[in-house]
Amino acid sequence: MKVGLFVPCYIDQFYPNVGIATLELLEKLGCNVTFPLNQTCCGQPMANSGYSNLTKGCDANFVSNFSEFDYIVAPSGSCVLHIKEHLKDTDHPEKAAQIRKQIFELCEFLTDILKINSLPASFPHRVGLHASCHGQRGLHLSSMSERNEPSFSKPGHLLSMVKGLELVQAERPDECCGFGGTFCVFEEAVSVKMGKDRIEEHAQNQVEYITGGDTSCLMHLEGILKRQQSPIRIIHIAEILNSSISN
Amino acid sequence: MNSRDLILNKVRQNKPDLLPLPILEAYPQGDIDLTDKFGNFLKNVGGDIYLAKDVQEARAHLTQKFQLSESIKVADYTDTNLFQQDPHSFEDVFVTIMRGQWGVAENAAIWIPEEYLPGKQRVLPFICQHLVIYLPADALLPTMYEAYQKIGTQDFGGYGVFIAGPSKTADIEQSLVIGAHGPRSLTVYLIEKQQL
Amino acid sequence: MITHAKEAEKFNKDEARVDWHDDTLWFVRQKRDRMAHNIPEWEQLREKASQIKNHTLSNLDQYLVQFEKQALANGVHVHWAANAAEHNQIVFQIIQKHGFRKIVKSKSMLTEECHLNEFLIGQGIEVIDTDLGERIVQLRHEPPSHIVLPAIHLKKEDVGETFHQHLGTEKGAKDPQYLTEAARQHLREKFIAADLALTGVNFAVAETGGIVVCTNEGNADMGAHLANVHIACMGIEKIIPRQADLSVFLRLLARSATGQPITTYSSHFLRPASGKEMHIVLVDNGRTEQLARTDFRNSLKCIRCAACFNTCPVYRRSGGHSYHTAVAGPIGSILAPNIDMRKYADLPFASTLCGSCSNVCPVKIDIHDQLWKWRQILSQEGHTGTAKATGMKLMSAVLSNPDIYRFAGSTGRWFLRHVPSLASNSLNPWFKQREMPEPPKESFRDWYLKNRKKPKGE
Ligand code: SF4
Repeated sequence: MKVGLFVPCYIDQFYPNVGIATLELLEKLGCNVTFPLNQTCCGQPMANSGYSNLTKGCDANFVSNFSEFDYIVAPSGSCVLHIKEHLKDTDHPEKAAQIRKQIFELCEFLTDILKINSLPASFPHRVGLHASCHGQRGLHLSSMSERNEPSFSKPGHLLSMVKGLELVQAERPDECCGFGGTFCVFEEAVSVKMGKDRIEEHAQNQVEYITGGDTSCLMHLEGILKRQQSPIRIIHIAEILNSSISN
Repeated sequence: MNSRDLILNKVRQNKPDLLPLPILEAYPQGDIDLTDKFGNFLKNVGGDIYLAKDVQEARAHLTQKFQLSESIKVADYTDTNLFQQDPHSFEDVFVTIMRGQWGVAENAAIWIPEEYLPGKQRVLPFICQHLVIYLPADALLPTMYEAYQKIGTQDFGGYGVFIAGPSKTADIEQSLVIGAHGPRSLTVYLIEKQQL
Repeated sequence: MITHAKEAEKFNKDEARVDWHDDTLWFVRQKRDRMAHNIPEWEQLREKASQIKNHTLSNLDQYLVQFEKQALANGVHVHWAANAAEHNQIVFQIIQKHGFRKIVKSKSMLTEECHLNEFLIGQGIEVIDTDLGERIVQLRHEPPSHIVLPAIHLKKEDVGETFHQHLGTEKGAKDPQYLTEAARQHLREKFIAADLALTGVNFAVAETGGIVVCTNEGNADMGAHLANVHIACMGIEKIIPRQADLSVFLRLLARSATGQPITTYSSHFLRPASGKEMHIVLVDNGRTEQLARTDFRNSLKCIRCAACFNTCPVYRRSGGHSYHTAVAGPIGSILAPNIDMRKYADLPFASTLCGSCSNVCPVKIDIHDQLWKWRQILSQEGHTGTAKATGMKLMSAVLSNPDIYRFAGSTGRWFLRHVPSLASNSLNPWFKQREMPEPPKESFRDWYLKNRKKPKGE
């Protein structure tokens, strides 16, 4: 199975360990993974700010990097959702359409495509899960609290395979953290308040870590945690799933 | 062009292609006891419910409950003098007693067509301090779907209302207060014998 | 210029109050969830409601004509208003014809949208809002902050103070029961004295010509049944085809709005009582333009339940007034730009696009997708500012080209550290209350080249 690894720009630049964990995990699970070297960004920062007309360059670059794979996997629900919903390429419309179908967020790739039932991972800590909205409501990674539907959680299912990990649910299981792309600076006051409120619920649960599938949300939460000098740390779900017994 | 034609023209120009009108359908409610469900919802929305074998029994009970006497003004559906009166004259009505046609188990709403209002006076269920409704025990329906099947497009007079509980508000800090502008209480008698 | 972000920042100065506002509305959301989760057919009902509304919009002209015909046959006067000014004139002329002075109103967001109160009061008419929440904000000369819970931004102490000033309640009294009782007595006098009652409309049934008004307090009925003349004002999108369609909407409305199984009163007005007069005013005011916007037309399905307000994490933490429009919240943010793009260009950005609004909406409006689409239009039409446009162009240039991207990354990762704020004029607001991650020595790509890179074909 040829897998193209998409490492979104924020992860590439600030959280290389998330990319490394994703790559190692997929390799451990038997995938033939390649990281196309000329990838940059999915284009979402512009599109969500109202400038989807400026994403042509990103789109074309994405298509030229990722049209050769069986699957494309990224450790970010938000970027995956953006590609699924908005990737366009007027020169190669069929390639863009193909990519939109082939791209998966890491957790859904593990549960829906690889259909794994066990993992050689261990992470003996108390952990809170932040369900990022684009993964949650956009990709439907978990049941949504607003809907009348059977409850399930793909990330929760994966975390339950990790030895020693104690998952504690936040009171509002799928409320937004307030990152929201450029929202985080244009609506700074509300953005930070939303982040603080998410953190508060996890703090009340006395978690050691907050994990999730979207680095952008985690970066926002980490920024607040650090300013608060909180002992709570953030960790991307790929890093937990890839953590070995020695950890 | 007058505004009517202007609006209609713009709608005609701007509306999308015709989409189908869905068929309405009943949703199975499982094996429920309508009386239980109705009663529970009524209590939840702040109403009281009693079972009475007939109207006489209900009347005796409510006379006690509201300590009715000559000096207390009651508007009763059997009183034929109410028809011609000015609605403002009901300002001091303490209890309004009327019949209900259908009760809905899923939300404790009771359907009152105009002819069931004492003297066809629309204001009476609202202006009184307390409201009493007699409802035949076999007039309970599972959901609003069945209720509208019964109501149909029949002429229910010029006015009809679903009433579910006493008037209420939560406009101050979401604290529920019973008795906003309308009645401070709603008492429902489920009348066993079909004699209303 | 008023913007949501600035108003929200002011609102957030008092954090304890934000917490209180958030909790109060979250409580309503939870009540809504309990109701929704207890109806097994909930999602089917939403779909049904959505289909009925979609159908109605696709045949709206015919339903309006049918509704008018039936209403006229019922002895009701029907008026048409192309815009807010005409609506206000129609209402005023009815009042004037009778020489009336005192009117009572029950809740109508349409009249808020048309600023009817200011207009009538300017003509010397006494206009009393009778919904408790609306009366509270009216006494305070404030607009409602929420379409279902107009005074939700106020604490009982605030209401106590307002009532002390205007209704003579005891100084410092704040018990909701006591305050509600005071309002009841005060408003009873107004109901008894009113010449004319004005109500909104929740649903207008084409096949009967009747209208349905939903309240908990009973104020619409108190007003309409006591006064000699009843005027009901409605947007043209309130039409539904069949009486039986009410079964779908009444099952959804109150459950979505306040978590009640149904409102206390669902009043069906068909004909005026004998000797009385009833009018219906059908208002366009921008609705036909919204109907023409393919991407946004289905916002006209809205039944004004406010579930999208209560669930919105931004609304809960910024308050209704920060939206500076009559209908706030997520739905307001897609309705307002239709009326005035420049003035309301900020609103579609007052969202994280989390999507919770679309999930609670009982008529399945794709609210958050429409917010995204408005953003595209607003920026293309130049309503988002030059700083942002320049920043976005720069960002696009860097991110579109792998070489420039890598170069930018190598220079201390300066570029991405400043990406969000490149689009804003001020100092990077990220750092006001947050830190940035320490830039790592190498990017993932650098690591990959060192650790995995094999020559092609190996
Ligand atoms: S958009 Fe939907 S959720 Fe929001 S007020 Fe309208 S009907 Fe309710």
